[in-house]
Amino acid sequence: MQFQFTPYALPFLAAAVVAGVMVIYIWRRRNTRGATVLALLSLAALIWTLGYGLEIAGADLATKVFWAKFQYFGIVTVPLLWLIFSLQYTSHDKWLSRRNLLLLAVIPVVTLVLALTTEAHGLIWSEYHVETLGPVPVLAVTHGLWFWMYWFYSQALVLSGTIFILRFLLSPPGLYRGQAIALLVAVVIPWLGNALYVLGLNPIPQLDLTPLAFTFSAAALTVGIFYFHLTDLAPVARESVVEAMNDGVVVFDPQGRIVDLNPAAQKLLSLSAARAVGRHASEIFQAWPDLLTRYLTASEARDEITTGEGEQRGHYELQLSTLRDRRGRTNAHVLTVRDISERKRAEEALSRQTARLATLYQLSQDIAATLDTEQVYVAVQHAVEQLMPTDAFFIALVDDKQQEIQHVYLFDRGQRWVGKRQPLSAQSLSGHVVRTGEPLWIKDDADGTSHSFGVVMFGAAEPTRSLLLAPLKLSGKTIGVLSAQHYAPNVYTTEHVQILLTLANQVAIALERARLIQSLRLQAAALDAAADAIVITDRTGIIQWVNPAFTQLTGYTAAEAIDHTPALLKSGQHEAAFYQQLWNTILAGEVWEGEMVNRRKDGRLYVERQSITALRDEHDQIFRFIAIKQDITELVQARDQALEASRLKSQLLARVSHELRTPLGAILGYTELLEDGTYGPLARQQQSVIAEIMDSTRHLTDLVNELLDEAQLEARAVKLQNAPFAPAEMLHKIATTMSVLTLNKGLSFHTTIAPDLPPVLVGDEARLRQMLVNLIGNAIKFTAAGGVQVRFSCPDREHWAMEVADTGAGIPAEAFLYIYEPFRQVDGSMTREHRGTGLGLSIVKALTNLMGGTITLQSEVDHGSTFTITLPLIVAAEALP
Amino acid sequence: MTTPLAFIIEDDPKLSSIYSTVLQQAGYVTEIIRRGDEARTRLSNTAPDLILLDVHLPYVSGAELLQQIRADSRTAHTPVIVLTADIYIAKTMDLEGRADHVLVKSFGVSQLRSLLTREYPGGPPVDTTAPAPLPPDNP
Repeated sequence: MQFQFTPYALPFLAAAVVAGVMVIYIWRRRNTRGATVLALLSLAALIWTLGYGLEIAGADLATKVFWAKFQYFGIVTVPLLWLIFSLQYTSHDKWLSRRNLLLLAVIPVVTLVLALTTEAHGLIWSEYHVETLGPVPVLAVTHGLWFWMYWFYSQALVLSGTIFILRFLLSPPGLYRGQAIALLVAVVIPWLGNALYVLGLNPIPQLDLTPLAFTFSAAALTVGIFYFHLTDLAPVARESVVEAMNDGVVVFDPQGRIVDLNPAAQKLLSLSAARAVGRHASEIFQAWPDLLTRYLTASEARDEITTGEGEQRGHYELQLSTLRDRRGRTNAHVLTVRDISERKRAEEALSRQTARLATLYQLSQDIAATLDTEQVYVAVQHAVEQLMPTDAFFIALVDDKQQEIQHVYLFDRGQRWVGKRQPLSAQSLSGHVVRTGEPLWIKDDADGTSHSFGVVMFGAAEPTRSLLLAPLKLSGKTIGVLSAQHYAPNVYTTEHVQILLTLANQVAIALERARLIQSLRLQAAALDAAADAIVITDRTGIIQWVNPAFTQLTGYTAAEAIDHTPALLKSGQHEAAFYQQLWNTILAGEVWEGEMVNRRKDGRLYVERQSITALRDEHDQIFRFIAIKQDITELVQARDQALEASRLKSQLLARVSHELRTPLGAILGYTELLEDGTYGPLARQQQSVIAEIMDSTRHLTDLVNELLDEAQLEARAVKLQNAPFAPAEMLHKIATTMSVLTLNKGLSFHTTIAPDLPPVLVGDEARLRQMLVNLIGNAIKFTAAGGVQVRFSCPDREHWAMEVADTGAGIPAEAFLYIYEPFRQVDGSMTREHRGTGLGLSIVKALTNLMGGTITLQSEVDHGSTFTITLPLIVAAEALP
Repeated sequence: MTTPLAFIIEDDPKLSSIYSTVLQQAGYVTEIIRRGDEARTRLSNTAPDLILLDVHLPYVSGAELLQQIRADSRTAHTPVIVLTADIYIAKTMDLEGRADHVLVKSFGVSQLRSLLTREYPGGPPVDTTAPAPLPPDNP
């Protein structure tokens, strides 16, 4: 190839360089809308200008022909790309289907093929040669038939693209000035080139300026896209936004006729564009006459409207704005309609939730403020009525003991009704809820569904049709039922069920709390009312609480006593060891019981009987002491007086009997001496008189002795003198004395000692002897024939027994009860006949009791009697000395 | 064989007279002492063969006398029969352990007699036919 320098080639080569730079620049930013096509357009322009520049610079024909043909790669693509760009830019992309593109590309491709092979057929160039007429040798061609066909075709393509862009420029997209100029330049330049060429105004007639024109056109578009954001703010997007937006847009002319409305508006207002356009607003917005009048006069407004009912309910936000021209005249009214149903529903749910929480909070406040169950019922009723439609309402509680359900609070038809009781087992709605522990929700009781559960609570003249029952549960146990009911069907929702369950929880807790506190109050009242003083201290003895009786007892008020120790009451009458023993006892967790002399606030001493008990916490540690005090000052005084009186009585008796005994002894002694003839022999009559005196004196002596014993026993003045003794020896001594008497009466007398009886026991030998002598004396006295047997035995390891059996008169069963009473004998005549003191058995019984033993009697009239004294067996630790 | 001597230490003249009669019948020579202090004096220079001792005595009590009797080697083993109206008084005064016998008033003559016969068979034979002394005059 041979080239020669010619300045005419320079503009084209420079344009090629510009196009090349543009290709690179645009390609790097090909993400921008339309950039790819623009890059290809620039590339085509580059090929065209470069080819043309080199054709001009070509020195020979062959070179020029080669570059002329090379240009055709650009020539056939530029118009097509120009059209594609303009379609894309004006958002007519949808026309750019693959099929359309292929069809459009057919002629350029054919043209290119024909251009490359034109020598063969002359359809592009019928003849060509180098012409050197002008300042530069150029390739002069005579165009063939196809060339002209393609020329028209390419003009058509460019024209179409130009028309699209011009139309777009004339529509009211409101482009920025820079954008508009860039577009205009890009569109005008190719035609300017064409015009110059056609009108023969080309400064250098031999040169075709078209490739330059397209280069400049592409440059203008590049500037427009990248500097004025031409494609970013494509008006097509704006229109599609309005079309696609969810908000409805209705445009009215100043007279109030609908000019335009987007699909969203058509849907929201249930109007087709065909029906709506041209109609007056009043026809469309009949449902909201007040809005209409406002909107016809106002230029700006904002409102919310509601349509439909229930689930179909819709909420819309309307915004009216006025478009004005430059002079301030009204151009149009634009009404935007936004569906805010979702937002509204959320808002409503939120406000319901808030109201619900507020009501629940109020309820919890109300029921926290009261311990009166009635007030709890009323508060709950108010809460339920606020949170759900309520015609009838009840609270029922389970009475475990009676196995009943009691409707403690019934409210229906605006008034309170008397509660009913029904067995828990009865077929009832409440019973069902209590048994299952589950809520019950009857949506519509028209068909009497609830009848399958038995009794309908509000089944008076007008039965409720919506029923909601929730169990009142406490630690998993159903303690009652809470129910809301309505006369209309299908009133309640799952939300209401949830609310009622929540309320039921609160009610259960509140009722339990009220019950607990009431029972606590009852206990507190009982403690307050207690006659005994009650003191609660902590572990160290600091007083925490006292009841009113304490104040009465001690004179100290609760305020004066609390935070002090009971040492406040110390009288100084007890040794430190006494208090030490008390503390040792209670700190060991044992109950201390005893009497204590304390000092009242006014200084007076008093005696209290006190019992102190330790309270343990959950860790079994002592944390409180409870002392219960009783004022026994008077009791103690009375007791002391009684004891003193008794002591005096015993003293008196002892003295009297002692003083009686001495003269009695003298009488007895002298009489005996008289009787035995010490003072000389007596006549028979004298002897019998002496015998009577003797007998009476002995009786009197016995009486005096036993009276003394009885008196002492009664006064509890007898103290047992326990010491080791040998029972065998004791029995032997008694037998010696008593056998004389049996011998006199001709009776037998036997004694036996069981071999297992320990030889030495501990006991009051003198008293034991006295008891035995009494029993044996009685036995001898009441036995006419036969004998008396005395037996010591050891019936078990812990007892020993003294048994006195006779073969005498016996004692009738009915007498068993009173024979131990003083001065009682089986019958009065016997007392005379046998002349006992009537005190013997009474003394024996009293002594037996004193020794911790028992006395039993086995007897049958005429078959003798057996008295058995059973005593605790105390074996001496060592043998007698 | 000398006649055994019995001290009757008893403040009541009638009772002492009766005891004296019974003891004389039993073969004793008797000496009646009415006051504790006198008894103490007599005991310090004479050791009787038998002592009847009342608990309630003026000036020196029966308990004190018994202690003295047991403490004195001459009378440590002399039989002592304690006479009391209340055995408990006797017990608390620790008489029983030291006395040979305790007779609770009002005991009968027969009781004293059988005690003497039973416990002191070696004593003088009882001569119930011997002339009895007359009861003393009532003061």
